[in-house]
Amino acid sequence: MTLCPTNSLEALALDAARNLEDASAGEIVRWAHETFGERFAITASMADGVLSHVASTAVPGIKVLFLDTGYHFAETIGTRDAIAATYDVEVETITHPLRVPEHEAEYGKLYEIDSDLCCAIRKVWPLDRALKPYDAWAGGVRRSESPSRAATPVVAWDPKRGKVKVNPLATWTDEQVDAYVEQHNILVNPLRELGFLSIGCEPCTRPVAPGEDARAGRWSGSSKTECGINI
Amino acid sequence: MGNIQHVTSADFDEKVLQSDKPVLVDFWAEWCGPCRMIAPVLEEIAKSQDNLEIVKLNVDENPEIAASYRITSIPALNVYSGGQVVKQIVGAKPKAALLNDLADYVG
Repeated sequence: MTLCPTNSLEALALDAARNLEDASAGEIVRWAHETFGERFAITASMADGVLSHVASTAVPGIKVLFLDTGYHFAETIGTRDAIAATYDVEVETITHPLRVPEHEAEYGKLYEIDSDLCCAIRKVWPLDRALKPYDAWAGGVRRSESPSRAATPVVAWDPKRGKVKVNPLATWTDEQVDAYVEQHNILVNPLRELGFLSIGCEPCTRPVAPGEDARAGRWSGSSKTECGINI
Repeated sequence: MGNIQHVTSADFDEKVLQSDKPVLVDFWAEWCGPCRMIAPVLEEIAKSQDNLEIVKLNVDENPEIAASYRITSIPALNVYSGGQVVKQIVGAKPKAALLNDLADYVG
């Protein structure tokens, strides 16, 4: 190591990345809770309840932020409702101030015209605003999900937001996820059985074909692979 | 194209068995995660057509109706026509699969 960050949160994140690389997902969530207290929350896409369940087991009643862009599949909204009703979590739904009809009156079908801008407006900006009370946040990103995620650390520094990003499931393989789902009878978005392995907004998500990356169904037909909320 | 109403033991006969069109009864409970999972899907189906009416019955609040139709696992979706159960679907499913199962009734 030849450089040390002067930002103490960044230094903390880099230390934690090293120290927690072999820790369990629950230990990582517990570390984040012990370090940041109420200034730590998790986010969930509602593709399944794995992260919510891991987090609620480690920290009962933990805050789960769900980004409702207004374009979600009904099944995703239902999965959110199911997790909110039956897991020991506090789900908070984050939305853009403009409902979809007002948004489309202003921008048209922005997901067709400029999907990066649509994500930026309806997903990234609302999350940035919702994260203001927090110093650390977690998501379910895993290294095995796609090549662009292969180097995901268990704890990272989010320089854009000046916050610590926690990735408790970073090291989990698909098999580990499946085993956890089976062992704990985890709620899984019904779209999974139609081949939707990664689930985003309805206009920009399709099922994946056998052999494709799990995220190949997101913004299919374009080079876009990420919405922009993750670093 | 209606919203989903709640039915009870008291009005099950009138609203479901005596209905002049097919009625899908969603047997559910507060503690049932998969029941919650399909609720928004059923709302979308209800809003998008009016051939099949969709109603909900809470099995904890109406145990006698649930028992009379031998509802042992939920979510359970029974389609009633002419007072009889003509279709049974059990378990949470994606919308496309539900529409396929209900193709004869949604039109």
